[in-house]
Amino acid sequence: MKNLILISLMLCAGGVKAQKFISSGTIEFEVKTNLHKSLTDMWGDEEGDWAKSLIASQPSFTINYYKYHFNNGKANYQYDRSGDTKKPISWLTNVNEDDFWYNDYVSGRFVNQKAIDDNYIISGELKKVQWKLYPQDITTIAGFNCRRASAILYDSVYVFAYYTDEITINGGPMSLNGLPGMILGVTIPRLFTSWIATSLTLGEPVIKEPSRGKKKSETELMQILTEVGKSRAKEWKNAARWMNPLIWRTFL
Amino acid sequence: MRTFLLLAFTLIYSLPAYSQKTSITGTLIDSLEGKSLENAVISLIGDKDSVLADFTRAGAKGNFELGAVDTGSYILLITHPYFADYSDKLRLQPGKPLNLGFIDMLSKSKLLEEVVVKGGAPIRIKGDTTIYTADSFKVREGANVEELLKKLPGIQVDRNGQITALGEKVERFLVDGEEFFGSDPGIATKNLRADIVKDVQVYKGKSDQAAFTGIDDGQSKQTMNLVLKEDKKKGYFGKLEAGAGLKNKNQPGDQDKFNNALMFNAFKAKRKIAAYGIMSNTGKLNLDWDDRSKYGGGGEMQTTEDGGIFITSGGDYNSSDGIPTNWNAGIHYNNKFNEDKHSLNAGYRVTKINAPTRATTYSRNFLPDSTWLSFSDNNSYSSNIKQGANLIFETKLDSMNTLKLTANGNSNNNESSYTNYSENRDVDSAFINANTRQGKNKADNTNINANLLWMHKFKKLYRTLSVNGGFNHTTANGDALLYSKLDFYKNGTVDSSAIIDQQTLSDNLSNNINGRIAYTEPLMKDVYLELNFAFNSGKNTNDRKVYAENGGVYNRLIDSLSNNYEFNSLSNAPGLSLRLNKKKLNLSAGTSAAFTRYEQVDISRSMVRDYQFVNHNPRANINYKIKPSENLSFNYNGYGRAPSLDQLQPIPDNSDPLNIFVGNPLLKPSFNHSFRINYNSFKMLSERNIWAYMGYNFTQNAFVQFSEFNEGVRRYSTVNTNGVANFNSNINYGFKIKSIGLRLGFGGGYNFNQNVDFVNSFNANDGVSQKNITRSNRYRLGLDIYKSVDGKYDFGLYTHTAYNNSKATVNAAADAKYWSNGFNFWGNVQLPLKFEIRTDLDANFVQKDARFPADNNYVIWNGFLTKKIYKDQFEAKLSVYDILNQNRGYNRNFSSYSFTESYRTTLQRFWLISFVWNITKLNTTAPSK
Repeated sequence: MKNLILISLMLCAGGVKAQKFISSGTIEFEVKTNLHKSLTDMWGDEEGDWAKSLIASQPSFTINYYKYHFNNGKANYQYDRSGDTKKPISWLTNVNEDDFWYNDYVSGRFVNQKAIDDNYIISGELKKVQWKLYPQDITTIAGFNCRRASAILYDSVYVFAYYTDEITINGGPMSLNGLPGMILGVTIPRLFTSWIATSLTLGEPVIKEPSRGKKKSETELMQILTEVGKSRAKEWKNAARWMNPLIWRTFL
Repeated sequence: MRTFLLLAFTLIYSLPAYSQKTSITGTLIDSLEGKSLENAVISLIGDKDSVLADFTRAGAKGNFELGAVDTGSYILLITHPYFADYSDKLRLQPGKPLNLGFIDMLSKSKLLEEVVVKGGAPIRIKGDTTIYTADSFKVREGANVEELLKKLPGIQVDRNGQITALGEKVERFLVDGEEFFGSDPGIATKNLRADIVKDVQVYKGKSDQAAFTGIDDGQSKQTMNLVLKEDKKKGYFGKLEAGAGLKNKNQPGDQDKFNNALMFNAFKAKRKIAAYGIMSNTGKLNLDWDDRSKYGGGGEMQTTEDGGIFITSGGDYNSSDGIPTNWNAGIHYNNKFNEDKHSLNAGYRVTKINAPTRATTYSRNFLPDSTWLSFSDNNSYSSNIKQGANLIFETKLDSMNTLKLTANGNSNNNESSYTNYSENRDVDSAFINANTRQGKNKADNTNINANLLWMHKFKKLYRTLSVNGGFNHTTANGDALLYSKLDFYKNGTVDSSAIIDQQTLSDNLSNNINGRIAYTEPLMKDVYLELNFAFNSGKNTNDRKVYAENGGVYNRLIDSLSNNYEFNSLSNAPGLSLRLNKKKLNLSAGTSAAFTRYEQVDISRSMVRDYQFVNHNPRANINYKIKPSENLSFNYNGYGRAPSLDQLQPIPDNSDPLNIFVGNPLLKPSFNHSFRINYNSFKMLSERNIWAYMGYNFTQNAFVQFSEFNEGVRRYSTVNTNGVANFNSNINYGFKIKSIGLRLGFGGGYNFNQNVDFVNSFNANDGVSQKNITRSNRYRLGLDIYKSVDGKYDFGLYTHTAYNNSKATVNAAADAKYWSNGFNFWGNVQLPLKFEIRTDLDANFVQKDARFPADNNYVIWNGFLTKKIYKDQFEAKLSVYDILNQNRGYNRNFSSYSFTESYRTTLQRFWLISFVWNITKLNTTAPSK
């Protein structure tokens, strides 16, 4: 696949000059989470704890593939398939297969379907992220030259991103956006997760807005989740350690 | 540190807020080749903080405009895949829109030396990783990594925390191969202690150290990686507990109470050694849940292919009747070697339990032609020593092959003696018979089993092969002495007596080998096929010799009670199953056909009986995800059960002269069908849950009892029949009242049970047997309440009420209807001065049945007061068990042709004062050398 892209890029470069920048297509992301570390972070690491043996019974990593379809400054991001040979327990991974993202980078709007209990439709303005650039830091992802950027979300969560200016959409996996090009690689150490593009297929996918679900604004849903977190924390003081990653993932 | 960072960022961000806006325009050109520069990215980056302030892409003619930019100092960065990067420093002033005119993208002279990482781009040198072993460099106690780095030759750390290694500034800083708060080395070096670092690695760029992120760095960069010590976690913890209390004067034969325990766990990295010892006469026969995982072998948790989980309990569970005094000890070791490729798990435990018991039983028996009453009073003393050893060794031969060896050995030595009085009377209280007997039993059992599993993965994803082989070896030797006098009454006087004075020696040996091969093939996307083959061969012999007393010695063999018998089974079972994993639907179905041969050899009588059959084992599982929070599943399982040798061996066992069991060699295997539907829903946001299930089981050729009576003496054996079935259902609904933080739940259920047995009439051997069908129904309702406030209190209440009815076709007098109610309460309050009160209460109220002598209500209430002393290191505890002194070991049973109520001696009210010393020494850091 990589080769195909490179060849098509070269063809584009040699042929019609205006087409060497890609503005539509489908990117596949490999999402890899270090399950042992993320669970240990959430539940602690006490010797002899039942949680420890539960964690030990799980695979070290869980891998899922997501598809990012983009066209005309709009994009969908959605679950595609699992890459695990040994399946972890579903409620440990925080992967909601029904989650569906719709981002319109031109008007700065998003409409997402969130599968928490029921399907919720949340919409609002795309996050304005304060990106810090490291222009000399260049990496190749899926055959594209990418530059590094970093940002802090939710006051304390570091996000490292690699974007390419060869794709003209200013987007990225989930609702990440705001870099001069497409984000092809993301790592969030606090979530022990990386999102890395593995391939790009040229095409003109149809970008859809999700519609099935109860409508809520992002702040409303955030408020509900925060309330649940607070109410749990009253019963069990470590609940925050468990709720925070969930909230972060939900609103990425 | 985080606060500091936040503060720093806030300051930086807030600076431009007071500035005014302006704009930048310009045009990109390629003066050499005249190529289009459309879509080149023009980014404006803050000079001081490197934050992206604005960006745009060049138009068709290379023209660009960045409008409404805050004034200040910036770096302008222009990038294009086929052009060299361009960067320049800009200063934007209020009211002065900046026109940069033509920018010639040919220029490569002004590369990025001014940007961000002061000191410029690294010099590229290809070189091997340089590794410093941290322990070889002495630093003071408690030193941080920065101090360590300053000691390493070739590494300098400047005032700002910037590190230079081998003459180059370190640009990427990793801890155990992962980014540590971005690339800012200062955060890591100042916050990590030097003595947890094993190696300091310095290398150039591209490295498998970055495997975690998966990002292949195109560039080589001076990288420093801190490898932390494996043994950074090291320490031990344990507890010493001593408790004592005075005896309960109202309970005859009671003794002063003690409950002492010593538990210890020392760990270093992945090695764990744990040991425990308990001595108690307060009923603490087992490690509790918490201690078991800390000091015992702990349970093993495993996952299935489709993400399910099952827990195999570690060690075994001890139980005892009466008032036990027990001594337990165990030791456990586990470790992982060679980068976790090999893991070893081994343990040994021993338990001795001495227990005197008295049990009294009242029964009412119903046959078509009569009703009679039974009473028995049994006094016994038993002493049991149980030992067990286990070993699990798992090794990953390579990424494709895993071997796992599981081995267990157990032995059990039991000695007991008893005296028993039993009687049967008719409804007018006239004696039918009465039996007094006494005896001594000695039983020695051993069991060894081992299993070897090889799992192989193929290059093709999800294609696997597993091969499993195992054996099981069991011996059981018994030596029983029995003296019994059984008097038969006629018209109120003893008409005849039967005396038994015998010794029974039994020798049971069982060997079993088994193997299984399973191959999984992915047929298409989300569809998997498993082919398997299982083999099982078992040989089981029981040599039973009964000797009658003959002039003070037992040497006269009683042929009618003695027998040497062999039961062999052999089965070959090919099988297949299909699995479908879809987003919402998971489905699996399969079956195997076991071609089985049973061979019974009656060695004493030179008789062979052969029986061949095919045992199917169909299974189906459907799981449907209705919503993210809602799940519905259906499950069917059909499986056969083989009769045991005891059920088959065709000799009478007269160890209870009033209930003589006789083996039935004609017994066939039974087959069970089990259906289950589950629904569950858990809403995380509203914290509301619904769990519901329904299950139905029925058995073909079920093993049931066939009883014959003669003057109140029962002879019974096992026979096959149809009609045994049960139905269970339950629903629970729970939610949280958020305003007061209280969880509330309601539950209800219905159970139906149908049992079958065969009885003949009470008197005479008329040969007529009647099928007795017992149907019982139970309707349940329950309420539960739970509240917890962290660090203050928590409590729970669970109530249950049920209506029971039971009907037996044998005799309408055997019908019973009654209510049973009860509740459980537990609570826990943290008081000032580190006092804590804990209590639990179990109340049961069973409607009285006029046909039984006693009242059946009891409340068992326990209370505990704990005071923690000196940072929780010590605990003093006052415990009072069964405060109301109502525990009587009561049990009621309505089944087949009889009702039974029984009472056993059990621990009643006692108090205990205990002291606990919690020992903890946890080193997250190893001492530096």
